[in-house]
Amino acid sequence: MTAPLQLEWYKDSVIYQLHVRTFFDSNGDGVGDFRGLQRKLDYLQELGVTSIWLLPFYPSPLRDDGYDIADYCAVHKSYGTLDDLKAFLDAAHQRGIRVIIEMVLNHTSDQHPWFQESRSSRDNPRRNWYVWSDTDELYRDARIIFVDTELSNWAWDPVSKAYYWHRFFSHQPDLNYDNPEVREAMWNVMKFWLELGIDGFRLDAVPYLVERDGTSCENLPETHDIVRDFRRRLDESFPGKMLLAEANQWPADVCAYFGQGDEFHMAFHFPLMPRMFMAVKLEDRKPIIEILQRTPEIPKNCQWCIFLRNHDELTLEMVTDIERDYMYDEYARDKTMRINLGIRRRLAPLMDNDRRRIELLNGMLMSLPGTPVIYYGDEIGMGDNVYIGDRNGVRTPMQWDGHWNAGFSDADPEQLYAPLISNPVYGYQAVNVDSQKRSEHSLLSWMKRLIQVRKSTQVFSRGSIEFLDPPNHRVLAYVREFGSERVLAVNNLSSTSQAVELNLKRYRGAIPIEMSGKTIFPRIGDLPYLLTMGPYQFYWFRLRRI
Amino acid sequence: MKEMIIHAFQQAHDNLTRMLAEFLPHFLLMLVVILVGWIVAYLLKIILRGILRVTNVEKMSEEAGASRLLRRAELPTMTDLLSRALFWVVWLGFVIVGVSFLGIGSLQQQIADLIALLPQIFVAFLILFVGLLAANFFSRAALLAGVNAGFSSPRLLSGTVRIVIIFLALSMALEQVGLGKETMEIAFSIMFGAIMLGLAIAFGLGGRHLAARLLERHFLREERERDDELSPL
Amino acid sequence: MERGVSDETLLSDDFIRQLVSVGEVDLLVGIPSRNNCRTIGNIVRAAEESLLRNFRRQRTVLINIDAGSRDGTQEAVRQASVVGTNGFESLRTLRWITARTESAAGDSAVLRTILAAADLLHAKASAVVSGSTAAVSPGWIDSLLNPVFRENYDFVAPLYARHRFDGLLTRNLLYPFSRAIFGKSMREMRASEFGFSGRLASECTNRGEWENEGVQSAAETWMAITAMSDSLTCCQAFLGPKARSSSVAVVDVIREAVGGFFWCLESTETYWIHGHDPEPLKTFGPDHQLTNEAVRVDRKKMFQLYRTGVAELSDILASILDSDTHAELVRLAALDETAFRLSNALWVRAVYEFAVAYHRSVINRGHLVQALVPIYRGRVHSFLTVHRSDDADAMEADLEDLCQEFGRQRSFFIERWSTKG
Repeated sequence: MTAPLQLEWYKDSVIYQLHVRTFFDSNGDGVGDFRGLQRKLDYLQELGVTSIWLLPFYPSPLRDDGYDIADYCAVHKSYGTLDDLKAFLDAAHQRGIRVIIEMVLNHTSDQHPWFQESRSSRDNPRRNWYVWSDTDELYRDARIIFVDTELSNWAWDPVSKAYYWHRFFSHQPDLNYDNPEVREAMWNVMKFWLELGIDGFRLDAVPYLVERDGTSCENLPETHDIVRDFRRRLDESFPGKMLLAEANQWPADVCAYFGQGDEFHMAFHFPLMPRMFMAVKLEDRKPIIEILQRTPEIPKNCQWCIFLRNHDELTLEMVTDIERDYMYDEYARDKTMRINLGIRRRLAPLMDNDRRRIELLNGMLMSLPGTPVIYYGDEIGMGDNVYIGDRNGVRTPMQWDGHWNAGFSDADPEQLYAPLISNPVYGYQAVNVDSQKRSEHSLLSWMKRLIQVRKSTQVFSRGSIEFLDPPNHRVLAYVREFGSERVLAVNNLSSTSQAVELNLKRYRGAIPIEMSGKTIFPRIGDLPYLLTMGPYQFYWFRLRRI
Repeated sequence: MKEMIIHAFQQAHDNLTRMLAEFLPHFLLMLVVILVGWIVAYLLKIILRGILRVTNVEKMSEEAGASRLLRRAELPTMTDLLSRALFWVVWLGFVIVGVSFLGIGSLQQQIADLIALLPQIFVAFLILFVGLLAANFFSRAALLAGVNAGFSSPRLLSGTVRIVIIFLALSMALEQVGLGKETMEIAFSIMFGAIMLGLAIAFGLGGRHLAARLLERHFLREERERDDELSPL
Repeated sequence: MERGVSDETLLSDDFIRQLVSVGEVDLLVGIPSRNNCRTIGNIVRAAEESLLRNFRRQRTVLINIDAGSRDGTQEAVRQASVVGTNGFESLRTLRWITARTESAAGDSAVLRTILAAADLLHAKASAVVSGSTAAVSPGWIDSLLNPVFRENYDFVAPLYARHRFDGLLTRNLLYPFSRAIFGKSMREMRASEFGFSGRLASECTNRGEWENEGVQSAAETWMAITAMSDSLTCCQAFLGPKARSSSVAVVDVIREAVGGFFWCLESTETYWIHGHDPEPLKTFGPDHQLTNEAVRVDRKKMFQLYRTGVAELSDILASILDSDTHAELVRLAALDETAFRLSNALWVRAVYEFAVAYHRSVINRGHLVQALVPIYRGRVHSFLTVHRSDDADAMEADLEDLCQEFGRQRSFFIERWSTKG
């Protein structure tokens, strides 16, 4: 392998997203911690994931699920100590697993010492670290993001008798990136973690770093300058580390954050996700093809990050009104399942616990272009609890076995940070790692095999994609190509068996070999290649010339 | 002398006896064959009648207009006609075969000729019959078409159609039997020529207006007022 | 006897391939065409707009079966489709199936293909819109599909705003006759636009009657009557103004429409022979609308055609009609044009006797129906004379009278029909 290939490890990665709190409790206090996480590394290694993305674990008043950080260079005491984290990091690296952490650049908690100092007096040296104003008339063109809770992006500070700027909650004041000291301080925070051995950052709320009057205060050129600056320093001092952008925008807008390959390494492809769910419900490939065709080319060293579910709601911001109504009606008829502009549910309940559909979606996740992210628990088909507030219903404890507290903690069940899923279908007695490990045919075992096949070739992680256009619109088919390697993926989006004729003239003479069973299929000839597919079935064929 | 006469009588008697002895079995055989033939033909007639009843031939012939034609000619029904025809054809066949057992040379030749002619006569009658049916059908079709298209003399048209078809059928039938071949050909040619001439004149005279109208419309682009048509549906 | 469609050669391999790739659908719109390049573009746009606007979530397919057009109709369909989909957001892939039959293949073969497609694709609701119909709007498609898709009807007959002197055969014969016999007041039985359910599609497809001349000449009528006589639910939907067709061949229309209708009577005999109480038909939208622009009609010629028809066809009419009826017709033919009236009672009696004669096959059935043409012309003459200055209400009242007359003579008809002649 050449050096750039190694530097671009994030392209070949399979990312596992988790919150330390939810995974495993080693000290019996009802909250998961780093020691617990370290003990479960063998499980993750066995699953085959190559990176872990940790949700915020910093000291925080936890008024926004840890995204309100009170100290950037420490660990929340519930999750352990910095030493625990270091030990976990080493153990992960020993197993060849990289670790990506959250970095909230845009704002801090109002409990952060920086803000406490800044508000303490108008002449404090840190006064200029935040965005203060005597009037709330500035930046009127910036939209309010949390329309349900906030009336203005300005909040009155009674202590220093001035307004401070916040794009999110009023307890999350925005840092002032026009101040070079702030940029320096944030780079020092990043440096701290990089020196500790962290492999990459997922940068939160990137578009909002800089404010300019008369603009929407989003995606400003100055913001890109800041990102470019961080990236330059990163490449100079820590080559091989990675920046991942969270920007819930249309692909063309997100593309700007790749720059000329000199800003982010990766960015989430938000619009693709709801369209995968939509395509399966509609039994029509149109939404997926449309959005991927509208996705511009990205620089060579960059990569999309794709996912099915995450710790947030299934966001429907990047769909049209018609599509959103359809998604609500089909996936969240019960209004309690909806939150903000999205659906707060996990993969398995969204798929009616239909194993075939869960497999199909995972199959597409692993074969469409981009680095896949698996949300913890989805590999065993965990359920959710829409009756606990906010998005906490998809953040319940990991279900390890069918015993006390699902094997998650020795604490009293009442002491757990969140109740376990306990219904007969998705409850931990029915759905847990232990029982699924014992079965060759469980979802967990299937996921292991799928990840293994995905990792057996770089064609999925780095290859180009070319969509085929078979007359049957229920079938989504594409050819991934990397070097001399070609893989044909065919997905039946329908609940019924389908026959499909693929025009494979370009690959005439090649022998399709089904990748999971290594089965040989008839050689491709001049005629359209006929495949019959069961409900929600998908095939990956390596096209070999022998 | 007397002896000679007696001898002659004797001989004659002998001959007669011999001839009778020879002829009688043949004759009996003939009677048996004819009798058997009658029984077979009768059975076949009953069977055919049954089959025709079952297959609803009556209705078909009714629709085709054949029954009406038969009624008008005071002939029995289609079923009857066909089954009777079968009876006679079969029995006649047996009779002819029976007669041939008599071993009379000249008679045999005559019968052979008759047998050879029989299918042709049959076919000729068939042609005639089908021709009559066709004449009836097409003349009616022509009549209806003429009336509904508002022709001034639809009967003339239908009558012509009828006569032409009957004539055609007749000539074919006669030719089938081999009679008056040349006469027929000449007569047919004359008739055909006459019809064609008639048609040519008719179209020439009738089409005069049409041609005038077409030319007029083409060169003068004169929009003539037209009656609106009412859509029946 | 049931027959599988797939065993037959009705559907070409290419058509099957297209069906396979479209798969199951909720809604189907069939557009038969034959040299309709002027009208078809509008229909395609209307159909697509209806589906994309009002049936956005449903799986839909549009089918164009072209009967050997030589004027670029199929090209017009393609072009209109591209324009049609612009400006409408759709969740799904809009599917088209296009096929071509030989020009010799009749309209029934085209309809049969559409029905087979509806059956094979399990379409819950389908609509057929003739490629020749002008002024089709998206609302038409909605009106044809909605009663089936949302209210579970099996057959939707159209209603149009029509010129008051259009559709006179429908008005004078088909509608009142079928209403008297089947008990359902379906005004437009033989329509170029209609909607139908999957149940009806599969029922019709699986019947072995397609090769029959009756079905071939009046497949739409046969479908409507199948729906009425098979205890399926029927309704009517008002579509809008129907443009007057530019050219009509009265004789052909009568031969097909009346011949087909008589044939259908025969094939559904077991249903109606014991009588059915009239039941109202659910109607979506206004019941009827008449328009009233001026038309020029040569009534004198019509009377002339009646008079010569009755005289020249005397033999034929004598074999079809009762001697009384025949005599009465002859008597009327001798009258002066101004005095001539073909009354409701006489008209109904003649029509019933024609149907009975058809049933008994007194002469060739094709000829028999053609012999009705002069009498129909006489009737039209009377109709135009009587309604020269009538308004819509008066005409409606008279139509009701005619329906009553058909009802009154119904038992006479059934009795004659049932006795072997």
